[in-house]
Amino acid sequence: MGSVKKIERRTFLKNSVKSVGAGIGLLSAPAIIAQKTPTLRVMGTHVTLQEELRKLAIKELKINIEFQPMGSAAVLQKAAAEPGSFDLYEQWSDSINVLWQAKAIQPIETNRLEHWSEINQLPKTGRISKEAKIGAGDSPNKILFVQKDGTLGGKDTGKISFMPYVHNVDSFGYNTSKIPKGVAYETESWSWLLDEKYSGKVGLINAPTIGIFDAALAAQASGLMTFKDIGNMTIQEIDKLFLILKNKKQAGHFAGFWTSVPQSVEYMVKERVWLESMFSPGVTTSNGAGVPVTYASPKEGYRAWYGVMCLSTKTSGHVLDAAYKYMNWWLSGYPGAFIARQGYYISNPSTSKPKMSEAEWNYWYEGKAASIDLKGTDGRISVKAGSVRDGGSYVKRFSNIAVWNTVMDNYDYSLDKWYELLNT
Amino acid sequence: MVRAPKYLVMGKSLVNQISIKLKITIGFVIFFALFILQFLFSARAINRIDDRVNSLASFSETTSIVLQVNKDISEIQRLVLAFGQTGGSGIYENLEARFKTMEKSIDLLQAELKNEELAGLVKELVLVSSHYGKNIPSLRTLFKSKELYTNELPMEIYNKGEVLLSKHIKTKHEKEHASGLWSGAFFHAMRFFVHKDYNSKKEAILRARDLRNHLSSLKVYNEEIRSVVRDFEDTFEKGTISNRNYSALVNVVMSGDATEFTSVAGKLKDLMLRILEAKKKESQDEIGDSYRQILISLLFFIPIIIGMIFFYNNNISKVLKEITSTFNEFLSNDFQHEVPGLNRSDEIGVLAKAADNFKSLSFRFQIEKEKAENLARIKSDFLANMSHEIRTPMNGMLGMVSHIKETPVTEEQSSMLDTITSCGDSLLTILNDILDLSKAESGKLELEDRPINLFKLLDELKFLFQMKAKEKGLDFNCQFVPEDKIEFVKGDVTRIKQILINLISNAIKFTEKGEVSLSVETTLQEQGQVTLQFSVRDTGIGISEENLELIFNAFSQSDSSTTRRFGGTGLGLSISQKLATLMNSEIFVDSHIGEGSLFTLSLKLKVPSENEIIEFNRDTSVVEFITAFDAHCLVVEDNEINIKVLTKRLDKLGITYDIALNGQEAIEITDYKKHDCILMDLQMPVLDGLSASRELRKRGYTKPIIAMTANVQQSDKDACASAGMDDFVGKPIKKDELIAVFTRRLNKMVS
Repeated sequence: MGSVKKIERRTFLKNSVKSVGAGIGLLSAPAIIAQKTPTLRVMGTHVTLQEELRKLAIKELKINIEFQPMGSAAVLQKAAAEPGSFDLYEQWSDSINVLWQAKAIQPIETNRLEHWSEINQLPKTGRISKEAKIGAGDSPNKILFVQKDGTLGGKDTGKISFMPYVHNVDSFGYNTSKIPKGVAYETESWSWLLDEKYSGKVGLINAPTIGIFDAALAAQASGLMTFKDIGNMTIQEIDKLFLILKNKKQAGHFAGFWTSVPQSVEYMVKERVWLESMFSPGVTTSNGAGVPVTYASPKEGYRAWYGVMCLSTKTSGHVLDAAYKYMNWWLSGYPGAFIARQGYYISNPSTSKPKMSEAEWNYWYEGKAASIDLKGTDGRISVKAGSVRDGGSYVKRFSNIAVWNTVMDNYDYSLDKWYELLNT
Repeated sequence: MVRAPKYLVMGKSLVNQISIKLKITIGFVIFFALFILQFLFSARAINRIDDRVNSLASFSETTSIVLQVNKDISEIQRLVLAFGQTGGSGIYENLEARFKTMEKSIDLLQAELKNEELAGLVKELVLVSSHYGKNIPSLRTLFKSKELYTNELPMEIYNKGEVLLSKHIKTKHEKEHASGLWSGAFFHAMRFFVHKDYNSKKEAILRARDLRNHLSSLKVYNEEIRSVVRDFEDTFEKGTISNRNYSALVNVVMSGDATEFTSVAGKLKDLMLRILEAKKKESQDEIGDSYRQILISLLFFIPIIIGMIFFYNNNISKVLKEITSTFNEFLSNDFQHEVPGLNRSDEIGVLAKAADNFKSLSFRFQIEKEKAENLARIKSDFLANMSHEIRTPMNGMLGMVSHIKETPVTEEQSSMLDTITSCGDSLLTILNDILDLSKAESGKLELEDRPINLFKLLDELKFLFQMKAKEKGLDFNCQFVPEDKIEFVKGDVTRIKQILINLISNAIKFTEKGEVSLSVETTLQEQGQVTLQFSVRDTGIGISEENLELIFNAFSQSDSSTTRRFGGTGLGLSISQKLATLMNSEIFVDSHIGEGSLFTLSLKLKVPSENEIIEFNRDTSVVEFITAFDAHCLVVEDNEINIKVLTKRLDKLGITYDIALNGQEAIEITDYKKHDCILMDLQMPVLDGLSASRELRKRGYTKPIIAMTANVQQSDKDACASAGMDDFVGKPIKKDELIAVFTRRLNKMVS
């Protein structure tokens, strides 16, 4: 923590924006950086592409790193369509099917990953513990290993489609100054997202692989419809779901569809919404900005996601080596401790634990009350002493998974329906 | 005058040290300054309004840009859709151009909008549009690859497959089955790609797999055929991905940005319209405020200007008016008031000091004048007293002479007594003149207003002067031509006669030969008035021009030699002129040395009524003189000489008498003795005549009381009447007069 330079949230946001520009600038002018220090182009979202980490990685790894943070849908679309535009891709497990089918990514050798053995059972088996239920959809274990026939499956082959690292369970955040605080796993429910009471004050994420599940969980929790397999909806189910959403939208129920974490914070802070699909850093930042946002622990279970770090099919040579270096660095401890301050878990927590204060570990992983004020990644206090993490401990939270972010079979159909919803 | 508080007085005194010139200058400067201030104030207000209007105009311009941007994004989205239909390059170029226009508009907004909230929204717009813009080029590449994998390549592979299948499969039935599977796969692929029949996706894959299995069962291991099926499967997968990529770009990424853009732009539009409304209202308020401020400033200046007017009026005009009015007071000898503004050192102060000097000068002059007048009055009084005191013994002397003449005296003695009588008469005339003059000068002369018989007046004058004129060998003519048969006028006959006697005596006196004439003309005026013009003409020595101015002065004759030659006191004309003045007239003289003189007196008199004339005739009707009375009188007189003269007369008239020496004695005597009448002197010691008469009447005394007085003016007569007296006789007492009074008042008489 002491070695981390404190960055104001504003400069952080500004820098993020700048780094987008810088990345694009490089793309349009393919000037080659000196070969001795390879340049690693990392494409991803604001969740993991943080300036603080980039600077630290450059310092420790002695390589050039370019970040290209974008919205989740945009980054997936770009990566799938133009594998030459990145070296490493950082997003969520629902990208894998698309990217793998698009042949935009290449298998990663587990033996080149120094911390592979430290990675816990969750990405490898889909369960955090034996009691935990396996969520619907593409749990990471189903798509982790590259099988002999080139498909993705659960059997360990020494080759993986992605390096499991950051992960979390998501739900929706709500402003407790507008909506009475509920009880985790008991009264908090996805149904709130479609509740008439909050009409005009609800936000959804503009990403069909994620947003569709928030909406489906909400529709199911509201008793409006049921799904045979919420992780792989039929066209009829999709039609029914989107009819519900379309009617809601026409009634002015949705205040917006956000495309990036800063935007979701903007929605919440400016009170454009009272509740919305959210990511953990968004919740933390909103709280830091003085808006009391609770990250709901819905009784129906979370929408879980697993962070994936993928190698572009076009990456090779020095850059490939640099990519492995960067992947290893990510699991080396500090980055895991760093992103814990945003509420994210790392795939090898035991390695990151020593890099965290006891208070941090207890709060973020153990679900215990914070013994002191805790700071976020921006250096500002984001957790007041005495508060307890929404949803409890790492194990408790990952034991309640309703569905994993997934690219369903009818993903293409959902794209059309999504378009229809946006333009309704 | 109300006293101002001390500090005000101090302030005032300070103000009063400043010269009026400076005050007026300061006044103008203040007025000008106020004018400039008002101008600046108004100009500022107008500028503010102007600024408001300009800012409003520029803001509404900016608002229209926002409205345009709102339109642009929907148009751009429409173009994106249109491009997805045909992939036409014209549409793409149009899209790019339209986007550039929109970006320029947004840049403009960014430059224009400084308001934090608006700038925040525009910043969001910039971010979203930059995201959106970066995806536009991908649109074309992704469309191309989509076209390639979902249309061109599948077509090519299908055709290639058809040829190979018919070439390598022998039996017709098997060929048909394989061809059916092949075309089915292709059909479903097209249904999936073109018609978005998502169920066909699975079907296409199944048909391809079935074909592969069918080929295996037929033991067709031709690599060409196998590879074309693999190509199909591979292309279908690529098509799916490219289709998905294109959809993700258009349906999610760009559409999401567009939705967000629309939402933000809509918010911006709403906010700007709201601000515009607010600004409009603010501007209206500001204009109202400015108007009110100008009005208030005007209202603020009005009291200042009123104050200035008040100040100048109070400090200058009013004081000037006050000084003017004190001047007027001084001129009418009222010196009570202080001159205002004396404490000032400005121009008014100078004026006030001059007024003050004028005041003290006038005051001194007034005192001197009063002193002089007082002195003159004392002199007159002295003369009057002197005359009175001389006249009483003179009466005694003349009365005695008259008595002596009635005793047997020698002729020589009789002649001497005549001389004494003549000398005494002259002396009395002089004394009466002096008395008249002093009375006239001290304003004690009063005029009677009784009917005058003009014929009688002229007869008397003719009678008086005919002999005198004849004695000097002169002709004396009297002419009277009355107009409208005017016989009576109202006036003081004694004084008119006095004037005429004086003028005629002078004329006779100063004429050696020729004639003296008196003519009277009457002219009837309006309202019972008549103008009487008396003209006395002589053919005497005349008066030189320089002397004409002097002849009416007291004690002066035309020159001192005249006095030596003709004698006289020189008072006659002076008295005459004074009497004329009392009658609101003037004596005019026209004279030439050696040719004679003409004196004219013009009087405006009233014509008496019939009743007045009847009464007058009764009073003056000629009574038969009675020379003996059978009566007993009470004589009240303190002066022994007078008693002697009077009692001699009474003895002769056969009247017995008692004597009381003052009013008190008289009252006491009447208590026990009865008298037929009382002859009462007025001025007596112990109790005067008037008081005694009043007391007697109070006690019920009914017999006539006859006053004896030298003061025979109307006021004296009135005073006598009001004290209860019935008649009076003048002093010195003349025989005829006494007889007339007794005739009127006593009924006991002996013929």
